[in-house]
Amino acid sequence: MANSQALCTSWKQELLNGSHAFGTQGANAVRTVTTKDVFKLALYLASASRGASDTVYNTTGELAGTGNYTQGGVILTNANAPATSGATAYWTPSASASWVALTSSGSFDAAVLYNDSSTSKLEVAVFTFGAQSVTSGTFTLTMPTSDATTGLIRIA
Amino acid sequence: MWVSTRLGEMRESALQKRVDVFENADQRVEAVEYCMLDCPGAAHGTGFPATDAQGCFCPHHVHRSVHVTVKQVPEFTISGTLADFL
Repeated sequence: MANSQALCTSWKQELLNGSHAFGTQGANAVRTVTTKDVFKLALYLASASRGASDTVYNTTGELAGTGNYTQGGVILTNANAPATSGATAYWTPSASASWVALTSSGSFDAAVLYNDSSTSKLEVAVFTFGAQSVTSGTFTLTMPTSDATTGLIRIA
Repeated sequence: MWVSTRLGEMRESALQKRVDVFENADQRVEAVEYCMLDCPGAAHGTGFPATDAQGCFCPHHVHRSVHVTVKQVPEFTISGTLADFL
């Protein structure tokens, strides 16, 4: 099996249900979201099978909690409010995700973005890259430029 | 300069360093790997990076760091134009 880069299908439905707050919203007649959700990024082994059909974060296929890796991943810095440009809406974390003094439990090639504030840890997306391992080192995932062309999450 | 390794902190001068950069339209991956100067790994015997399934130059490395820059990911498209609703 393999990991597949995708925005989770369940997340698309959850957008319609207002289940995710990447930023704060303006008031409407029913509710006002004044607190953003906390989003996390977790790393997955190349042997895992994460993809569009995922619905929630879980530890299946995640790096083991060894070598200074904590299962559940790291909190993403979210100082960028969702924005639009032309017909595209986009959002990107405002800082890199980083793991230091890491020794990975195996070859990994995917990162899962999920909503840590949600009770069931709703999964947002899977991002893949070339398979890597880290030994007593640092793994850094630098985010793309936050705009309508390269933003991490873009809806056109 | 000191380098964190699986054997503890070591002077960079006591290690051999390899840097690998892979780049395409979607991502840039830079890996930095350190081995002992007398490492018996095949990569050092040939002088060429002999990468394994995990992208390592040498199975005997003592340090490996990776920096992935995401350049672009697929876009989620909602198909719908004004004409669809008329």
